[in-house]
Amino acid sequence: MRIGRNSIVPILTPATAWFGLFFALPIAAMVVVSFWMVENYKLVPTFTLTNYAKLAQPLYLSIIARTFAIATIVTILAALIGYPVAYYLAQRLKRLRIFVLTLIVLPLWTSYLVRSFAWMLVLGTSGALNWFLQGIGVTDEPVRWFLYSEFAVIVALVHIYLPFFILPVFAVLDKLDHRLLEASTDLGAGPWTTFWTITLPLSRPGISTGCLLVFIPAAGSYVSPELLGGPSVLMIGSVIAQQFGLVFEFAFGSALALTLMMGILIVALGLLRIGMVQGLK
Amino acid sequence: MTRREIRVLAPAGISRRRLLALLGAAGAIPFAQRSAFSQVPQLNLFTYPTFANEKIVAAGKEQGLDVKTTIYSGADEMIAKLRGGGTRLYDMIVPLHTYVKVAADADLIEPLDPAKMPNLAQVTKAFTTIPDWSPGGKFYGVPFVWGANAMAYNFAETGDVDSLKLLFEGKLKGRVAMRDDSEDAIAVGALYLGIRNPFDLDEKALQEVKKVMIMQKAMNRTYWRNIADLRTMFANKEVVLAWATLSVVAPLRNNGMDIRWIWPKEGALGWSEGIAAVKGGKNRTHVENYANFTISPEYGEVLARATRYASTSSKALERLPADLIKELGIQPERMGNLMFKQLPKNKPRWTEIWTEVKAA
Repeated sequence: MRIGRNSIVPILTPATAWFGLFFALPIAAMVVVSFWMVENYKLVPTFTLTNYAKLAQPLYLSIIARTFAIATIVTILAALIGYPVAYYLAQRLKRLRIFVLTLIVLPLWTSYLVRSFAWMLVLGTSGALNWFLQGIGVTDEPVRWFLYSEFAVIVALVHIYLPFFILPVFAVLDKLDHRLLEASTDLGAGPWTTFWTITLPLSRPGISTGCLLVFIPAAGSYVSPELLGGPSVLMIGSVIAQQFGLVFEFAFGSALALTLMMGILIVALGLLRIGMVQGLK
Repeated sequence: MTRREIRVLAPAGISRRRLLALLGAAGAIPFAQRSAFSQVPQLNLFTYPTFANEKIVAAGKEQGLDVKTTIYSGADEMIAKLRGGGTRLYDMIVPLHTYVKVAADADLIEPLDPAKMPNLAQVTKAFTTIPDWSPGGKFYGVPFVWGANAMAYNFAETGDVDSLKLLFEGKLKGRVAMRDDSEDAIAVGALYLGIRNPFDLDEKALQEVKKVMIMQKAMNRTYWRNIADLRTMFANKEVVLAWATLSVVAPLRNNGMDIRWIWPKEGALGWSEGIAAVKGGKNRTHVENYANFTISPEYGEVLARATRYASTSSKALERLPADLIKELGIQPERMGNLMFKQLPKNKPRWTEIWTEVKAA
């Protein structure tokens, strides 16, 4: 059925209104405020580039670079762990599939904060991991760098965002045309050749979507680095939160947030490009 | 982890006593008494969690002063929320002394009438004359509580502690928590360097402090921002010494941990807090009554018993047993080295320096 021009307007109105009110308008406000300044806890509407000049200093650029490095590591680890899980679920598991999918989604039912806290109990000096390692005699002293370290932040972020990688890859692999795999086998290709030349390239849209869904929140994460990061892990999300919540530097905070968004946008466009599979449009 | 430690970590739910109080308010109080209550409107108090303590709120009710509390975790958050429309929601706030001028300049609070606060006469003179409370010569209030940010330590692990050097060097490496707060952290660095006024630092001094605070990073297990997080770190023994606020101590002590509190000999960072009236409120008289109540001996006593914080009322101290006075987080013998907080003139620069330290 063709939807006429007249009937599509009422269908799209709520979405457009929602998008305009809660996305476009706040972003526009942030763009404007990022060129203002703050004096005596008041926003002064003027036009200044000082906020952007300030964030172009090596200090903030290095924090952004470190944030992107951590987000990249998290994304790669999520992909390395998540892909085999998704593959197994889609290609091998039949009966328990719903059950395992539920297990994967289950952690999302608890708060993000709770999951970060849970890692404190696992990774702490008197935590479960150290208790286990000492129990089996791998170490005598508790390992201290498990918690309050980059390691802790990466572990927690991979755990928190892993389902967002598994699900889209699973969706793609589940729809994979089995005739292609059979044809490959018929033509004499071994399982690895079939995987590298058929399965993996065809799962690219799922991988790129998964990477996006992991990278974007990881780059903007705030709670996990604050709770688990320790003295040497400063991610840009914390710096932005500080500008708004603690020091009332709304203008500079807006400039920082917009810069982060632009950086993420560039990465996202790159990932989407990789995800486009020719002939699959 | 023992059950006791878990109890420290668990969020405080509604206690039996509070439930009983609520039930009482709903029905058990005699009718005539209730109608007397209803003449006084409920006041909205925007405050730190410490002063929203249920025992303190209950003590107010006994005086016919019913408050509904909303909580903030710091002075900047308070200002930001008042700016964001909070002036319509709250009747009174509890500013840190350095923020009275900030709030007054931003048109968020209005002066009080000292004549309506007879308990003023009992407040220790030193606190009625702090210039921070009367910017522009107008009386915006008087502190009901004072104290210092200083050091908390787990005695069983550290033994006696007297100097803030332990935060910077020596045996506790990797078991220390510095406060993630530009004002406190930079001022502590300045105290360590022996700078006379740790809140008045030029660029050269700031750079020296920065160097020392980067060095201090190696001592840290982590930084803390939220006092509940620091409490957890002490309970889990991740941390045994911290630059802290006093509110970390009482809950841990109540759960059997020997957490102690000291103003280090190099100096501590003093503060005072009191009631201020939010601008444009309709309940001015009642706010003055509440402000007067906070400087009463009764309030000072319940404050000390419930939170270990010290009242500014000399009469309140007289009511306390000697051993409780010792437990309060004040050390009058070290007043000479107490540096009362000042708002740094170049605060944005302080924030930036602190970001540089954390990113280093």
